[in-house]
Amino acid sequence: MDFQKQIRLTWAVNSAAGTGIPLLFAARMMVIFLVLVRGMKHILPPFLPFIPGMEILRELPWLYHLLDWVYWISLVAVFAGFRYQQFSIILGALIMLVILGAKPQFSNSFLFAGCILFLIGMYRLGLEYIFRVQISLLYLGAGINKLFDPDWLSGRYFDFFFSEVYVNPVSSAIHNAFEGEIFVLVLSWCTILVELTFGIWALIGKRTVILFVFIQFFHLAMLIVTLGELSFLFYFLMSVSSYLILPWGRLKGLRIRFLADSKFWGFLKFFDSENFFNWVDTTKKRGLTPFQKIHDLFLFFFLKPLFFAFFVLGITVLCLKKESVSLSINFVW
Amino acid sequence: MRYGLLIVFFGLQVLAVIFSRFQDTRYFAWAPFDQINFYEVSAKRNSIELTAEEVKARYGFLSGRENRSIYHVFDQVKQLDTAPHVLDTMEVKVIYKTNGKSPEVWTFKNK
Repeated sequence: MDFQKQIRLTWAVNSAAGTGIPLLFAARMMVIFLVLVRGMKHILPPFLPFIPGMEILRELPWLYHLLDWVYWISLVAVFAGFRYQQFSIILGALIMLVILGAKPQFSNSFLFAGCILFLIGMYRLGLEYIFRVQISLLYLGAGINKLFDPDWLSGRYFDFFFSEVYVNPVSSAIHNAFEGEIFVLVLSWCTILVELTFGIWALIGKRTVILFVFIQFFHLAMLIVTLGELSFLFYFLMSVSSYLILPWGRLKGLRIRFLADSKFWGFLKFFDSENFFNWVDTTKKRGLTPFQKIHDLFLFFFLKPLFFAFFVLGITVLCLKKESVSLSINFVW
Repeated sequence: MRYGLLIVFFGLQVLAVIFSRFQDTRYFAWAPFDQINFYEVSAKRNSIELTAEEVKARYGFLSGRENRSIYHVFDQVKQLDTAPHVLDTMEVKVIYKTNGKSPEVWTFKNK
């Protein structure tokens, strides 16, 4: 096996599977999530496991040293693009092992990262739907749970949310502008409906570009209302995972209008060495209208994994910084 | 093989979402941020009150916020104190407030 071919050190869209789905990009983002965002440095031994009897593994410290090595080798391998699908399965399985071995380690975002890594590893041509199914399960699960929760149905959750938990100028303005029970009730039901709709929509798999944009809006709206405190981990995860459900095969060759004599456009074009876009020079025509410019820039930044990564990471890091400040403020009963 | 694994993988998640409807805990139900609970744990070992540091060291948490079911806190306390190697008599009290409702108290004694 040619070692050179095994390593893909570029941020280019992975075309090994023939569909253009940016699998390697997503796998690398999951590595960033685990190490930088979640700060997961070690594979921890079992403590209060889900599976009875797993505590016995605590008596085998060498096993966890070994798993630590496997974890770090897998992280490096995935990031380097070396047999990244195989190593993604290993990472996904390790995350599930850690969670099954320790209830305190359980978190939905951590588990979801493990699921996505596992699915990246399992992916083969023709299995594009597996990412949609995973996203669908998440939103349907979240929507169904809220649908059966009396505090969600009555609006109490959001009433508490706005009045005591996430009190900031934005949430206060919203809460004050729409005084009364109706507002929290409408917001509760809208959230439930949005989650159930996303779940069904992902399963159906039509117009996934619009679904991707809506998912972005949904999670960004949560971050804006809470000034970056609520669910930024899920913003990161859902941005990356919903990126995988875009119809990459059809998006390839999208027209980007540019000005050949512009340094700015030349700079952007430099990042499309694999000619994902169809670059159309409009210098000799009428140039670009502001709308065309915004439209094409939007397309470029969202469909180039490198730029999308900067966007998502930038927002997540901002929220992380904010959280570290908020954690130092104790809640008063 | 691949299809079989995927069916089991997704099937288990579907079952978890369904079964969680019949349980107080919501571990694998994909239910983040369903509740906002603020809680405080206190405990006695053989009738002697543990310090805040001792509680934190024992359970891994002392007070804080749980964005999922509060039963996750109860479940972990129970599991720890009913383990076969625990010979002490443990009495645990969790004062908690769910979604801004009046504070409630959960108590547990392992013997």
